[in-house]
Amino acid sequence: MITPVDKELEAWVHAHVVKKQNIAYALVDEQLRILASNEALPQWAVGSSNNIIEQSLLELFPELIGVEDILRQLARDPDLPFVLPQIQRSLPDGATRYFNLEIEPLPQFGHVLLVIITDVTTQTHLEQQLQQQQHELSLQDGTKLSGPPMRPDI
Amino acid sequence: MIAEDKQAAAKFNKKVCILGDFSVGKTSLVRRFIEGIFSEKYLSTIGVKVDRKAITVPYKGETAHLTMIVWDLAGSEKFTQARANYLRGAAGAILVCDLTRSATLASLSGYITDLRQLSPTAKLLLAANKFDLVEGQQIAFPQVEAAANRFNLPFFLTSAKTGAAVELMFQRLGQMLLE
Repeated sequence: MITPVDKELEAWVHAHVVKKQNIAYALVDEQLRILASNEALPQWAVGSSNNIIEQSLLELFPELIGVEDILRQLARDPDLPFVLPQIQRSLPDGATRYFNLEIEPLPQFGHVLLVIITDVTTQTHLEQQLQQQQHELSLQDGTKLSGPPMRPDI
Repeated sequence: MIAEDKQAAAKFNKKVCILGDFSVGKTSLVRRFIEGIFSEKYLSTIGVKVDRKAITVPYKGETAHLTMIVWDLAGSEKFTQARANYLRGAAGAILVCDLTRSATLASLSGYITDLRQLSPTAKLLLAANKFDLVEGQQIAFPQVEAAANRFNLPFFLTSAKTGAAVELMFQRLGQMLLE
């Protein structure tokens, strides 16, 4: 019988779900330096080693160069999360993967940001295939397609 | 944007977005610039792919090292919050049309409007791509010139396939970014 106060089990389940879903996360300070992260983060970072503590978030994720001021502002004055969806990453083995990058403030812990990375490779590959077909059809027809592709129901 | 004024040359990082309708050759232009290669196969981009390339640019009578953070964006006319976040912080952009599809030139005003809302000071230029495809061209030189003049943009007739004007165009944008 599981009791509501079984915190150890609850913590284990949380950790298991995060690992199972290949979710990566990091805590960064106002200067966008990594304070802590889980073991899944380095797989998404550019040219990183496993020791990424104290490294600049911008070096690991160049997608954030240009929005430094927005992120620092978000750390100081909490607002809606900053989200960059479907970022493509080519891996050393030639595979292509996609992730969503979401950065949200944690005002209860000071000027700290939580970076969450979600693996969306499978659904993005399906979406890409569908979009590719639509574009090829459109080019054959000589017509101009507008609007986003329909999302496959997965 | 980082500038390090040391004894050595100044260093800058600048974000550049590549914008335009699908299949105008945005990814091919980026691959030509970054990797020096071209593929005939059309692979539709989804989301965004970010690449980096360092170039040297004249700067205040000396030479500066500029790393261009190149954002290859999926062609889309829909302006969503996600797309807005893609465009935020852009220091420059290349607007790409396909010389064999006239509608792709007409679309560029929408991309310019979107970018101007989020990055009003971004430096822009126009790439009229697929210049190598002599047959089937729907856009004549005067039309490209008129569009460029309308938005006050420098323009280049490019070919990702042959490499024509690609390096020159990125180099020109690099200079504009540091002006």
